[in-house]
Amino acid sequence: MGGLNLDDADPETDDAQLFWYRVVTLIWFPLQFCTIFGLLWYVQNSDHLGTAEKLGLFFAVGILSGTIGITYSHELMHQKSKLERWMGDLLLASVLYSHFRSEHLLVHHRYVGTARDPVTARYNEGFHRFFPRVLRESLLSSFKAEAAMLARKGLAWHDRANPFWRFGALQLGFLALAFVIGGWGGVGLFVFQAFIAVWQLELTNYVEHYGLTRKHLSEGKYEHVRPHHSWNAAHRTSNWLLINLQRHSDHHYKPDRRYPLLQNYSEAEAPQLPFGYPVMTAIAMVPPLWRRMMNPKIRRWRQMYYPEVTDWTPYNKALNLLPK
Amino acid sequence: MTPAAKISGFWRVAPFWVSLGLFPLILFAATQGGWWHLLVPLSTWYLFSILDLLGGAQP
Repeated sequence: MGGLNLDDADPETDDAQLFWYRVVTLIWFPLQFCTIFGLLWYVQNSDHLGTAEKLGLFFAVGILSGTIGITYSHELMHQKSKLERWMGDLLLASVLYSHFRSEHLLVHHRYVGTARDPVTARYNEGFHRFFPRVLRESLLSSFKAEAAMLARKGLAWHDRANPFWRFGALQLGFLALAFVIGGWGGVGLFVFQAFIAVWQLELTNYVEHYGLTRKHLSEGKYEHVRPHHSWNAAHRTSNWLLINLQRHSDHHYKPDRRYPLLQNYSEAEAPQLPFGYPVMTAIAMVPPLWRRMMNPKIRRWRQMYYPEVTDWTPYNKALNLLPK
Repeated sequence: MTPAAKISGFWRVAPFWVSLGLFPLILFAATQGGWWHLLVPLSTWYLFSILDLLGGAQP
């Protein structure tokens, strides 16, 4: 148990052989739904929990719905089947972060490593600055991306095909249910767990691409995404927990590849983190410690992959022309 | 490389179901109250990381 897992599965493995891997992601939403709303009912109807304990409990729920639920929704949103995409949408709506689907598929995968991707953390940018910036920018960028896609089809932004209608309806539905079960206190606890979940997600986003930028060629043109534009961790047990999310370079190479088939990259091919994502996200909460650990790695990475770049200021400050 | 035929074996799949263990932990914490609420964050953030390190994943 534990240690590093450098073993790769055959990437051509048929979907039928991955059935039990898929089941756990598909049953997560009903279980999470029952847990959130069952506990909302429970805390209203039991007298042994004080306010601090209720908050502690829903902090734990937020860890569950963020660390696991959003990770599973990420797996599901990349798949083609309607059932899986719906489950992904429901998981995201239960943490009031539905637009993450649009942001991730239409913005992040296309513009990762450039200033146009809000969730690529810049060199030296601490998490406490990154987090509010991402909350602000990703909602806007995801909406613009959906509106632009509708415009290419000749449709207005307010057309019913805009998934933001679905996002809003699902989120309002969950808020209404929280109100029915627990009144305004229930809504407060529901929103609190959602905030904790989003915090967990954005911590992970922060770690995944911190300081890794694609080379600006000219006039807003950038090199293609390559394995060295993601931070990886081959740690076995944290990859069980995060269903191989830490094999992140391969996820960017083949976004719809199912998690059991994601491939490992060696130290020579892609940057490796000293710990798995759970420890790295804890370190990210202490920016001086994070910088002391990660900035030397970024400087070595720059020397290794881009020795010809002498001035990194435009990358550090997001001053390069945005990609088209 | 693990061949396609072996990927669906029980011992290959089971570890990815380990997250389901968090549900009973949360329910237990809800009934007990107090510091038991820390069970889920601690196990999510640290238990798996400690297992990584115990298995020899040195930084």
